[in-house]
Amino acid sequence: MTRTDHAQLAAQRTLARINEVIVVVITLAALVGVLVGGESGKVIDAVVIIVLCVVPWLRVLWLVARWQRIGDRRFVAVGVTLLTLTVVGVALTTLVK
Amino acid sequence: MGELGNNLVLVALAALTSGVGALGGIGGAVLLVPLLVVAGTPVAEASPLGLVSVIAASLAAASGHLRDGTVNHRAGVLSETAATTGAIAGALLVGIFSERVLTWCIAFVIVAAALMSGRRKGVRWHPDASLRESDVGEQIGSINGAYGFNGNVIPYRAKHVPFGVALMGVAGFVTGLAGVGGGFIKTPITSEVMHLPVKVAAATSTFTIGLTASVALAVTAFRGSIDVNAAALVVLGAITGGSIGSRIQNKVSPPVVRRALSFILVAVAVALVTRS
Repeated sequence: MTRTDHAQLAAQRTLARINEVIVVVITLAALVGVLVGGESGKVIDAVVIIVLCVVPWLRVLWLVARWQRIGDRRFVAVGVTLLTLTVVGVALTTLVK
Repeated sequence: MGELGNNLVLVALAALTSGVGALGGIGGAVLLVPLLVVAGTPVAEASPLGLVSVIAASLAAASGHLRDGTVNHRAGVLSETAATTGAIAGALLVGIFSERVLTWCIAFVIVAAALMSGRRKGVRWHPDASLRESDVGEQIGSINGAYGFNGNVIPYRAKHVPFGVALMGVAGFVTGLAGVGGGFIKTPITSEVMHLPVKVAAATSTFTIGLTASVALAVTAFRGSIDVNAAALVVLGAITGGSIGSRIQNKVSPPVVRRALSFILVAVAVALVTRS
């Protein structure tokens, strides 16, 4: 199975637009958090940190869902393995340390 | 220097290191953290800020990489799986080697990678006039593909994939033991061992280091040891630097990226040894 994923670039361009919106929102939120300061600023900044932790993994979920849709089972398995390993790794590191 | 001055310096440092990191796909933390420590920030406070800079710069660079098709997601997810397996093993075995020995080992590997990247002349992959923009992308079921540069489509075929994946696992293990990110090793392995074009390797590494850093940041946040105000300033700088760095990387030729990467890698080795 070595055919080119011709629809990939179009799908990625949609993802790029979504990513741009996220980057603008994060930038504005961080700026507002800095300018507001105090407890309100800290809450906004904390939300920015949470979004930063989540967004990269949404991209992996999007990739796995897309690979599943086009029938690339080998890389669906790799993606699911990565997601599982990450959850196990975070749990182990948090419990052991 | 007043608080405003300190804040501006933090934003500027994050922008500079993230820009340099995005150029070579190695992340800016390995440069930002030593600079912050030298400036008087405790390591425990500087390290999470480094992670924040890596994720923010990775996100900022992502749009360009996605639009141009330079990032190879299949290669990224595959190498990240191996590196994560190694990193978990390394994190669980922390302490079996001294930090100093590990740091010198990593510095040696980085310098070797810099020499490999810097000494190679020319390019491995050339434009194929028969290919169109619709051929840009990855091949289903493999990590081969094609990317676009200057209006041309350049196809590539990965080599030594099992060896490269095994090296990613070893790199993950060593970096997990040492508690540092592995972006500075991922780009050279992907480019020089697996023979993916250096621009694809750098874009792919920029994607995967964002994943690694987000997990590390989540664990750190769980323990509540992040200065969120400083983190917001780093986000502002890193997004600016990451955007500029990825745009420069997109415009320059592969040999220039490779030479820049070699130079940055040597700087990283010096930063690591200095930090130790």
